[in-house]
Amino acid sequence: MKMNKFIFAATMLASTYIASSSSAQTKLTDPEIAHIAVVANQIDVNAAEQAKRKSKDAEVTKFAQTMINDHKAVIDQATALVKKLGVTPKDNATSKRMNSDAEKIRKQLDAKSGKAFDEAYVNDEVAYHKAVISTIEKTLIPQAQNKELKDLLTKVLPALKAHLGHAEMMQKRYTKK
Amino acid sequence: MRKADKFHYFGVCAFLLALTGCDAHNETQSTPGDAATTIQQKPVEASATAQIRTSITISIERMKFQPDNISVSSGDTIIFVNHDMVEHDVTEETKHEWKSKPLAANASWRFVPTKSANYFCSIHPVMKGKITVQ
Repeated sequence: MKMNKFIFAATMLASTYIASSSSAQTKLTDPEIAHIAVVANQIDVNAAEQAKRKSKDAEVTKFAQTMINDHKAVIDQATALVKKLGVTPKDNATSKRMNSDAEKIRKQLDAKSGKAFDEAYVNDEVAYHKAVISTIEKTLIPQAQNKELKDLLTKVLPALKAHLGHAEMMQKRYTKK
Repeated sequence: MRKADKFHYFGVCAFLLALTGCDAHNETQSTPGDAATTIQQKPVEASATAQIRTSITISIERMKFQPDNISVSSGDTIIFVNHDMVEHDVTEETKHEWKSKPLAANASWRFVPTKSANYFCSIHPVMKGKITVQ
């Protein structure tokens, strides 16, 4: 299947959002995991806010609003939990890499408009959610020490998978010929 | 009838009436969030024609309607309860003929379906369910 350059770049970048950074570190601590969780959600809020500013497509802006609402709800839960546990989220190589990769994607998307932007945003959402789901399942949940943090990460997964399913439904609009 | 017999008679009648009242309000409780037992069937009303209407709870949790396929009788009430941390709604799928307002975490919505329908969450369209009205 022909894949355009942007989809390829976004997929490769998204798959390295977290995986490669995690492999560069030894086991993550709970404060680091908590920070990664907040950053991962904030990245998608930022992406959605960009989409709301730039897209004229009702379905894309509605999806973006859902991303803002849902990921902010997760950030609120994570913030309340770290406060309860007396944990200070700790910036780390993984979260730094996530932010810098996200910044690159935002700039690439900023250069686009109209249907090209919509398609690129949706493709990035598919790639990003796949990467985050994989990292939560394979790295963050197994390495979390605190049971409540582990439970919150587990609780968030179904929402991420629903977001992925929704983004894939929208992606079909752009692959139809 | 002697006075003592009258008291005995009325006492028995009152006891039997009390028993009848208890049966009409019998209900099964389940723990919120327990997906395997979230169906509550509760007779809510018994009219003079002896028609019992039931309320059934559908739990919205882990991004699913649970149970996602139910059969109800005409006049039954469905109570959707959102146990997730994110907002959901309940929308008739084909023509959006009926729709709840967005349900925040722990909010609920009571609905009496008049005909069978497929429905979904218009906020998270991968979430789907079906109601059959018999």
